[in-house]
Amino acid sequence: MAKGFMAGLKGVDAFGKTTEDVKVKTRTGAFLTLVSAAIILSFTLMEFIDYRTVYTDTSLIVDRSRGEKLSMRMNITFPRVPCYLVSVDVMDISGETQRDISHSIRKNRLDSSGVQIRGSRLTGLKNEIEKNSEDKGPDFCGSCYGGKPPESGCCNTCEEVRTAYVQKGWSFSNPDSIEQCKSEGWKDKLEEQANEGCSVSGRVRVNKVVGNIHLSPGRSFQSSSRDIYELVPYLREDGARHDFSHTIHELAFESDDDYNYRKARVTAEMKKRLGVGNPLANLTMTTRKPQYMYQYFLKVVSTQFRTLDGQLYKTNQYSVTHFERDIAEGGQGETPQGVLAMHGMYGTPGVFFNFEISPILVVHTDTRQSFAHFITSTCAIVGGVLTVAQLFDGVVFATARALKKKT
Amino acid sequence: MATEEETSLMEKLDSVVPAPLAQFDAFPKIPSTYKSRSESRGFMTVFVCLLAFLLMLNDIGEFIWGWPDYEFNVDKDTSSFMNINVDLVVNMPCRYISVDLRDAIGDRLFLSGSGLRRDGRTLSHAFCDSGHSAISEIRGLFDTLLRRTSRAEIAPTYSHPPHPSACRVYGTIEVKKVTANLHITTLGHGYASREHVNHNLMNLSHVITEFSFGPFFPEIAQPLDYSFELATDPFIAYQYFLHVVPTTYIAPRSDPLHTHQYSVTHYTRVMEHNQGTPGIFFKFDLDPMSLTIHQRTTTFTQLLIRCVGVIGGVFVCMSYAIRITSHAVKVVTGGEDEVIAVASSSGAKAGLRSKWGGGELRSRGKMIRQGSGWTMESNPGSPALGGGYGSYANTPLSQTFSPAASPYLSSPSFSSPSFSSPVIPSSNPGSPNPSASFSPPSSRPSSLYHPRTPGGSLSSIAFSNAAAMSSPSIPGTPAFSNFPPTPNPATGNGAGFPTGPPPRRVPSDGAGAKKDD
Repeated sequence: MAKGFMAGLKGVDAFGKTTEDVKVKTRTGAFLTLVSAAIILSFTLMEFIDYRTVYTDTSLIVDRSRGEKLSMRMNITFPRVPCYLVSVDVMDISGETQRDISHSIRKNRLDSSGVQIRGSRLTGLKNEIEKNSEDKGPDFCGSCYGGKPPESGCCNTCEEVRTAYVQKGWSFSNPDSIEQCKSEGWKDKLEEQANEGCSVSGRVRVNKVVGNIHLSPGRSFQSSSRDIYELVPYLREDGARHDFSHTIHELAFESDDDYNYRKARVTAEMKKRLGVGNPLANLTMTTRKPQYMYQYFLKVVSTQFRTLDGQLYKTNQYSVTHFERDIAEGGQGETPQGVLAMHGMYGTPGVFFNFEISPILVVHTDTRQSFAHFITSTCAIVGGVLTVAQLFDGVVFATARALKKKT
Repeated sequence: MATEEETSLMEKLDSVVPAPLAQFDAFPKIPSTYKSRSESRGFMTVFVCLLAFLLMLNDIGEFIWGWPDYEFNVDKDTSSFMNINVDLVVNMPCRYISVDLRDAIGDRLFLSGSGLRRDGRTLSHAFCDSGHSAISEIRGLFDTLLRRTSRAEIAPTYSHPPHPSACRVYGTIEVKKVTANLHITTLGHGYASREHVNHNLMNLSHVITEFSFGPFFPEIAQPLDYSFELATDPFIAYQYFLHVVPTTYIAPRSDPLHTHQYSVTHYTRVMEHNQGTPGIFFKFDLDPMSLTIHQRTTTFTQLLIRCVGVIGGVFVCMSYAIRITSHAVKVVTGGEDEVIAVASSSGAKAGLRSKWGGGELRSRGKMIRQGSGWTMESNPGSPALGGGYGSYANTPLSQTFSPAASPYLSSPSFSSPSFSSPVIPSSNPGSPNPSASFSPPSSRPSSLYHPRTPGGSLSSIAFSNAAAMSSPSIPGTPAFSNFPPTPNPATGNGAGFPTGPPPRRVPSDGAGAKKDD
């Protein structure tokens, strides 16, 4: 070997080798070698599987977002309430109210067996209306019959008269006396639709504060800052029994990220993998009593998902409890346990979703073991197994020789 | 005999593996003649074994007992009702208090009549009962998990005093899972009532033995358990604000335990008449997050992997450390090489052999290089050496070997190499005495040997120097005086180890045995 530096390195060689003729090879040694090789392979394989597995870490932080809005997406079917009776309203603690939302909510008529009536919208009455107004001439301006007229000053359709009445605070109880309704055949339509159901779907945009979304019969209006529900057409038994049995197909709170199709898809997939998501999916409540109130109390928790490539997705989860109450039983009733209970609030029939926002933000992070960790464990396994096997082999060899010498 | 059985066992083991496979033996076993052993390394081996065992204890502990793993999720439970378990004593007769619950929906539950039972007690009894229950709660939570058999009930009252001055309110009620307010008020102050409690009789001191949500587990101590308040004023309001979190405990090898935990803050307010409602108020609301405490353990394969890694790592590291240290020591003390033909001789293996092997395995000492030859390092403490080789001291042949060493063994600490004939008796206490070479090693007084080196090599140097004839240099020595070249692994020299008689063994008079490194 060369002198000098290389020779100096030779002294540092930690991996000294034994020459072949000095080594003693035994068969048990070979056996142990093969066994160790098998063990090392299996352990390394397990470590490799561990390395590739994706784990999800959950952590909680305080939600410091500002100015965000929630979108509640829902899809609810009422088998025994016709669409003209269902109205969706939002109220929240800041005083903001949205009444009778129609721009983002779609109501589809269902027949009595639950099948959607083709080509029908609530505005399906429009065709007839247009025909009627064409008959009457372009300058026809219908009277509002004392109700509060819209901006145009004219109530040309039955629906507009009804809205005018509601705005004034009157109940629309007698459509026969109103000419617009008579010419549209409003009453016939009512009777025709009396046996139908309604499927309500769409998105409602709310503030991130304590609030309340409810689906109730009739139109709601505000009179002297109290919300009053126009219940008369609902309660009047026109031959059909209406009740608020419902099936919730989907109820979710979305953030603005979910409007992006690709992000929404990733979010949905992660939610499914974690098993979180829609506690109210496919929940069915049935009743036969017309005056029945369903209350859902939801607590919304903001959530973030971080994927392996570092992307951030924002969404929401919620936890829910639900209660129902028969309003017809009056002020007092009994709990299931038999305890006397008095109801402090008078209820209205319908479905009420009361939600509040939690200050905690949940972050689900996808992580994986690093490559360095995998290499370290592999080295540890290989070294450990080999050393232990070598020790064991040495012991066996020495024992064998010692015993042989004794004989 | 046993040995025959043992050998046949080895042969049986050998027969398992076919002969050609023996080539695959990856563990080089070197016959122990090529290994050097020492007692200090044996001690290190024991120490390393102990260290590895201690490190393994941590992993074993994790396998048996595990560690608690905390997880938060949004609560997925959609049930509408939950239980509240109450057991408290208020220091007023039962007919004067009213127990109700109001929830966020607006319902008011009348719990005075049904739902919660009320018994007459005295407050001192209440303290006794609390003590008894407290002792049973000292058992740990996971004891509960493994021992629970049936649903527990709050213990009924056993002793009814004749004139009860206090009221025990206890039982389990089912309430809706919404924000609510459970309160105990006095008649006439609070809800509209026909009766009115005299202000002198109003004493809202209370002892809470149990207040928990969910299924009743008497062993779990909740924050309000065993708390009491003594009222100083008739018009006083105790308000407890509770925040409830659903919790699931999962212990290894047992079912999950669903319950609720809560945190409580507490506020006492003294008021004037008609300024507020006196009473005891428990206002609670629910958290959407649920907590899961999972006692996790490692699996058996993980335990094996870790133990194997620990043992292997510790042994290998120690062996390298020992090797480096001894090498460094050799470098520092100057140039006496050792013949260690074993590349993989970890101190551990040597130590194991020294533990398990027979006594004859210990007999090899260190060979010391003397010029191109080798001398056996003498070790008077070792009986084998002393007994085995002492006889060679008288070999006339031995005299011829010593001159070979002289030019190469100039140790810096050896000041005056005194060259004298081998037969000069030891008259000089300071100089090494060659006459002792012919006497048994045990007779040497130990004080004559100075200085000591770790390798103990000086003594031999000294003696060989002292015994040196006026021989010029190595090349002049007769051929038979040289040992055959050493089997140095680096040079690949495959010559066998010298089996000839060892050179004249000059016993050292070192104080006791030479220190092995």
